[in-house]
Amino acid sequence: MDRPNGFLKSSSRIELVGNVAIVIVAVLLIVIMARHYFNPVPRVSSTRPSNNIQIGARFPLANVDWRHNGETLVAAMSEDCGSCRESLPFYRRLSGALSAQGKNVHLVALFSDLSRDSDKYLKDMSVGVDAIALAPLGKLGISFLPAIYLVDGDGLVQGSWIGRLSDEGEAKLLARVGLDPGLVAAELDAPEPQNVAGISFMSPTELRAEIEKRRTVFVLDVDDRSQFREGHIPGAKNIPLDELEARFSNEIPVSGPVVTYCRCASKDTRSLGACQFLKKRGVSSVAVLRRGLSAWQEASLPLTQN
Amino acid sequence: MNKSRAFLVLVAGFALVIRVIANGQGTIRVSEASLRKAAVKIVTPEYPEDSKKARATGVAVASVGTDTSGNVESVEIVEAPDSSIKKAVDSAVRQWRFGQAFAGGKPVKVLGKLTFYYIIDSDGARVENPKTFTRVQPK
Repeated sequence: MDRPNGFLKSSSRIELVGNVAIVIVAVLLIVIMARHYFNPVPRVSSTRPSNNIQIGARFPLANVDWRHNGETLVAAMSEDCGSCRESLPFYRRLSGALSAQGKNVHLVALFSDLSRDSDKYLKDMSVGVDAIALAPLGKLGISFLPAIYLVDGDGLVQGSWIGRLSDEGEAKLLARVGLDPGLVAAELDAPEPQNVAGISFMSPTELRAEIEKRRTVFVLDVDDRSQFREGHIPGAKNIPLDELEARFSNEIPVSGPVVTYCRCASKDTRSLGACQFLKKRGVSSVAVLRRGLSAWQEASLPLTQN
Repeated sequence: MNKSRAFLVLVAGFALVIRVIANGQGTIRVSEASLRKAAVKIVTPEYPEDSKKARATGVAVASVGTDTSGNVESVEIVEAPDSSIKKAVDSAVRQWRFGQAFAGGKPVKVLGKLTFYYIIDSDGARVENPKTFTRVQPK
């Protein structure tokens, strides 16, 4: 069936306009991408709470023989920073994997010069580092913590990862230093933190007896709200670990006793981190429920879901 | 013509996907201390009258996300004593503003939490920031 000429003309005109529009959109998107990745324009801001160390810049830490180190991961952190505390299990896996997989990458922990007990802080959490550096982080241009920088043998920054990393962020960092993220499995064979000064470990039956004997014991669940709602020790208070820094002084009795627990399977990393933080902040009596909620359930002790 | 058109559509789609993925990468999670230090405009939440009458007290926690310019982009109230306080905190936190955050020289989005205490005692009803942050608080 023949169509009128006018219909064919307008049809091909619409098709032409459509094609031109698609080309323009594609070119625009490619230009935006190219500008973003190959020619980043420095922004000007009157208030700039930022980590100002840029990729390709010299890492502003004096008296370090970068060339001797090969590649160096500099992990800037603070004992008082909640996100840093949450990142310690990853640093522990990272340091273990760097040793186990024989990578020529040094791991340096960088603390503010106000930190006093950095060495012990890392040892207590079984985070092995090649060196600890002290420097005023603010003056170095590091405001957000934790932050990890990859520095090459010339002292130039080749990568940066700011804040507590997502699983994807951790995988990218590991891949960047040549580690297989699959091999750096959760809870690698790093040693379990033990015998931390001033912190004791309890069994579920000991905790149960303590609760019955002294009703003042403060049982602290440091996992997420959703996990807490699914089931927790009766009477426990939920303060997720990333909120502990903000909330401890309002909600946790300095006189103790405080017992922390998590759903950490065998390593108790979050509850131990919480205990360590509370101890440093002056809580007199702190303890960890060893193997957390798993052990509580295995002992057939009751849970509540309110 | 149809083949070239299909190719162009593919290119445009690919570019768009890459761009979306790239946008998603520039987000950092920070502690409340860092977030409060970065605040350039702070609005303390109100204590709603009905919550006062009901003597609703306790902690309110907001999860806050900013865009790359420091404007509040998303707010989720993860804990609050009652629904009126939840609304009050949401409304206040949406008015906060933060300085731009950069990582590796590029502006990034920021995720963090803000905590407020709703208190009624002999001094009356009031909203307080955590004692931990009294030194960096506020205006």
